[in-house]
Amino acid sequence: MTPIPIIEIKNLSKSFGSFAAVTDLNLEVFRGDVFGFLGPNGAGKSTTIRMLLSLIKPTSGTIHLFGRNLQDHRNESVRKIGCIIEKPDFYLYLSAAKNLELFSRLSGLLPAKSKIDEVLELVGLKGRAHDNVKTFSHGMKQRLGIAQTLIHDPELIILDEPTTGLDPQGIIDVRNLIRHLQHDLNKTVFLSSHILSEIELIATRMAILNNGKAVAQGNVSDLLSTQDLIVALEVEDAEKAMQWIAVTAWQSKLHAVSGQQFQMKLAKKEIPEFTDDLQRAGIHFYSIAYKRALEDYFLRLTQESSSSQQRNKTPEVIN
Amino acid sequence: MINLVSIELYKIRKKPRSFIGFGAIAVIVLLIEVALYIDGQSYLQFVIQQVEQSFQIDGKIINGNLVTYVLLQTLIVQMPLLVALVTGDLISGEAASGSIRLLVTKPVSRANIVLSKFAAGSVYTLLLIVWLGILSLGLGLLIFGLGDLLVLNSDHIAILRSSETMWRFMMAFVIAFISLSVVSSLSLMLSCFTDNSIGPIIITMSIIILFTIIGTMEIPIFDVVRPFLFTTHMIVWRSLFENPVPLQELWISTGVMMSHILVFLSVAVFYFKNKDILS
Repeated sequence: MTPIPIIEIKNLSKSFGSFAAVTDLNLEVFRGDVFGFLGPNGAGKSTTIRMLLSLIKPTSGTIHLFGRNLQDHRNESVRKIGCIIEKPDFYLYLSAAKNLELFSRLSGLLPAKSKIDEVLELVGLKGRAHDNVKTFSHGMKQRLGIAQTLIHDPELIILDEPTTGLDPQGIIDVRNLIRHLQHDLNKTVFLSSHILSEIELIATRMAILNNGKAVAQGNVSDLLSTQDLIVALEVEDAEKAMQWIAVTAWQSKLHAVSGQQFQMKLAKKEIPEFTDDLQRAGIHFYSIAYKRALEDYFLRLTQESSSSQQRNKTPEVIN
Repeated sequence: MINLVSIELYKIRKKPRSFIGFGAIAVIVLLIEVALYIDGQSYLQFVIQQVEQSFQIDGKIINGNLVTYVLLQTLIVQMPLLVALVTGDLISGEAASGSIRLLVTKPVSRANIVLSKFAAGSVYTLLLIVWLGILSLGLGLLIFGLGDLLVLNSDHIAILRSSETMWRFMMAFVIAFISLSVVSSLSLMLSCFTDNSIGPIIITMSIIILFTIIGTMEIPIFDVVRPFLFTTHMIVWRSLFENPVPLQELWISTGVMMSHILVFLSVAVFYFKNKDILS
């Protein structure tokens, strides 16, 4: 059975005067997804999110949330959403707990003190619950922003650049929190970011946006498995390995050599075959590791789409 | 809606600027009452010097009623600024701070957001008026006592019996509330147009000053627009201290002011409903 998308965007466009911020965007996000929304600055990510949250009106196209047209069922739809848009801005003259209470009341729920304590503890701010937000650092406001998204127990959480301004531990905490939301609480997370590794680490599906158009969309693992990986291996006998590679079909895959270190450019599915061949040839290796060429992939896609100027090109879709 | 209004009232209560109005009224009222207590006779002689040659005025002229009337005349200039200081910031302040983004993503209609802010602004305005009433009339009567009210107008003099003043003051406060609600709705409408919290306050005051100048300058070309300017009608509370009270003028002025409130609110709701939130 085909799952019903929680977010379904069809032919969505938004123009500001003659500038097309988003053009003919199609997108589907399913229940339980951590959906990565990736793109360089100015790609149209925030404009799309603002349309999803009815902050701005689309020029054309439709948005369905939870199976209903957003325009016709706006209040019922946004009630089930928690969000951070760009940066979390609160009432600075109120405490963290009071801000959470007010925003929860605006969502139609009067939260119990225990619920406020629970979400503040989840983001590590319980000790600052009664301090005015004006005394908070940017990172603390970012954490409070995440607490605010959870206070009314939404089904869909939209996070626009949630790790901006966080220290390394904060970034790890947010990443773990997103995993917790998906795995343990069965939430759907729509995560916008321009940080490639962030999306790769936590997203299950993703779309890459450039110049307001989706240039790729699908499962993260599928999208990336079609791309070459940089496979680094340390061999016991470099000379022997070099001679062997030179007479095999793997020669064309050789990326770089440095001492006993070899770098091969391989597709993920080629790795087992390659290591089998190595062993059959009697070449022993100490270690093998790969890194994804996501950055190359991302740059290639975005540069291709920029240079092609073909704004009506059908996006690459892998499901 | 009640939930929204209570949230807006809470936010107003927690903003330090909301207390500026109460503080300013307290300082002005106390200053004038103390000054009149110490040197009221000199002030009165200055005011009635033109009519002294025609009338002999006896009795306790400086009393709580006169002090309240003087205060109302004085504060009518400052009150719009004190109201606009809070209501002009209700939407633009949230846009400037960014909290408008979260507010507008909640399951409440934009029309209700504007109307709840106006309702909260109205409660604030009402409280300012009540505060003015307590300090001017309450404290005035306590310090200066009760007495007949001598009202000096440009073309006539009126003496109102003390038994007739209380309902007139009460009605004057109601008219003042409606007048200030026009200011409140104007500044709220301007607040929808911008993401700058100071702009609507300055523009509101500029409009009031401009309209007042047009309304008071005796140039024939202004005669056409004068009846339609809300500032022309904001001073109609003075007619409550005439004998008899010109009821028709009162009703017309009240109607014009209510129409202004309706127009300003409608524009605010329409604009805010269709506005792209880009802040």
